[in-house]
Amino acid sequence: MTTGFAMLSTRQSPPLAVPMRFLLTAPLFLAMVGLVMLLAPAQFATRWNPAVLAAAHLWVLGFMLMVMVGAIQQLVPVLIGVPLTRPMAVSRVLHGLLVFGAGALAVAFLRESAGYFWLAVVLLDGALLVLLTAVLPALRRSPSSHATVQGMFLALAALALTVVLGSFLAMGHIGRVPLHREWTDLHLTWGLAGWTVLLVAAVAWQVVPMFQLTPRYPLWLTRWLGPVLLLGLVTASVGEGVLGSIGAALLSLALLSLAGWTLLLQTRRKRRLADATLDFWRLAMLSLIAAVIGWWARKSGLNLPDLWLGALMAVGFAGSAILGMLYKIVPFLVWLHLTNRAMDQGLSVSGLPNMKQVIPAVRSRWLLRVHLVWVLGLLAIPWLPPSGVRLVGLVGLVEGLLLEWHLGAALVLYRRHQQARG
Amino acid sequence: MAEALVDLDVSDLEPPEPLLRATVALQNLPRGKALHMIHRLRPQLLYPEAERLGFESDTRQGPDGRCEIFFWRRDDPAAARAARTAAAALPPWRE
Repeated sequence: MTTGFAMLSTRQSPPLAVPMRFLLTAPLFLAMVGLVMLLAPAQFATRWNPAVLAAAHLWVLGFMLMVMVGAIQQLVPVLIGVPLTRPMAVSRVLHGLLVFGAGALAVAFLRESAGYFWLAVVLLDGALLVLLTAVLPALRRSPSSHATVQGMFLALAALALTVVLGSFLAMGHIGRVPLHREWTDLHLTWGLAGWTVLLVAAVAWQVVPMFQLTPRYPLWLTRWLGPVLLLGLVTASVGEGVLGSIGAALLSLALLSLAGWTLLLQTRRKRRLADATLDFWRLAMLSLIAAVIGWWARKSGLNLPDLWLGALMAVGFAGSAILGMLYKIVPFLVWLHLTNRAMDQGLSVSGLPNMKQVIPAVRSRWLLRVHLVWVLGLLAIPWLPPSGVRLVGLVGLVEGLLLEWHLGAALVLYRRHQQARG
Repeated sequence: MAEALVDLDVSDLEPPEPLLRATVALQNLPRGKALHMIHRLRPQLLYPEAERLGFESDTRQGPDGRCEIFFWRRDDPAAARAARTAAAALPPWRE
């Protein structure tokens, strides 16, 4: 029996630097969110204070969007089978636009500076244009009929609307148009319940069965969740009265279906080994369910803290799902690229690290614990004194730095093996 | 006809094991035999590799919803016949 392996194809996969520059930058923005909380804890009493708006955008743009944009550039070629055109150049430009765009927007909120709002709008709208120009043609060319393709189309449409609404709100801050605060809810609903949920679902259809050893999601769910969610979002956004309630019900149904099926599939997984990824996804789906219940509780007049829904959706749901994926995808990519390189050079693959050595399980388990404290801390903020908010900020800072260390160490391991083999 | 198939069930293995085992199985497949692989999902990364190694494939949906893929060497008509016959008993893979 042959002991060596043939080269595994990475013809579809972009260079490791394409996704990694995004994945390594994101934890630094998470650390910055912690820093803002450490430096301006008293501002976290209401959602409209500049530090809260700055921290929220550092998280959703600097952390969430950063990882999602990096992941899309990796997943479109590998899962959908169509390589992106000039991946290195596109990723460099996108990365620069996102880093400086997210940074400029945070400064704009903190200083109420028209110049920085302008700069942020130009950079972030530019990032959207580059992303759409790079990804949409690939999605259109895809030979795959998988629901992931449809899901990514819908997710990008929701992202485009989120960015347009955000730009309009930024123009309001500058004073070019009246500032419609009520549009903020629309902006964050399309960003969190639209773009984020649609993309997480599109990726979950493949990544959950693949890495968590569960059965597949039912085909009807993968086909219908996206359209039902989008229909619900549109109806809830423009409809009033009964129509608005129907939209809200459709949206809730889609969100609960994603959460419910994921939790159900996890109970049917093949090998019941403990795995932090599984727990990250459990936390994500439970947060999503809690957010839907909280949304309806607020609609029926219950006075829940403003911060809760955003924290549950952005950190509890999206943050946990993203972290769960990172701790599988990064080791897989490092392993894949090292194995291919060795095969390409006719070298043995023995001695190369396996996935569990790239990021040891104990590290992901520790990050899960810190992340859980961070989520609970954010939910407790409405009752905390400034010193308590500072403590929550410290947890965020630690989480960001820990994550940076774990991902950075994976890259160092990759480089060490790459250099050792010439 | 079933003896002309080499079975490989990787449906309870975590990545990258399915990819590695399938690649080894393809390399070691005797002439006259086809590889019958069972997995949870369509193994996206395996197809270009199988093609490079000189294999053709047919992807089907198993009775339990799992993905069943039949691989045979392009220049092996006996294996092709065995694989096509076995594959024809299952519906095409749906995503």
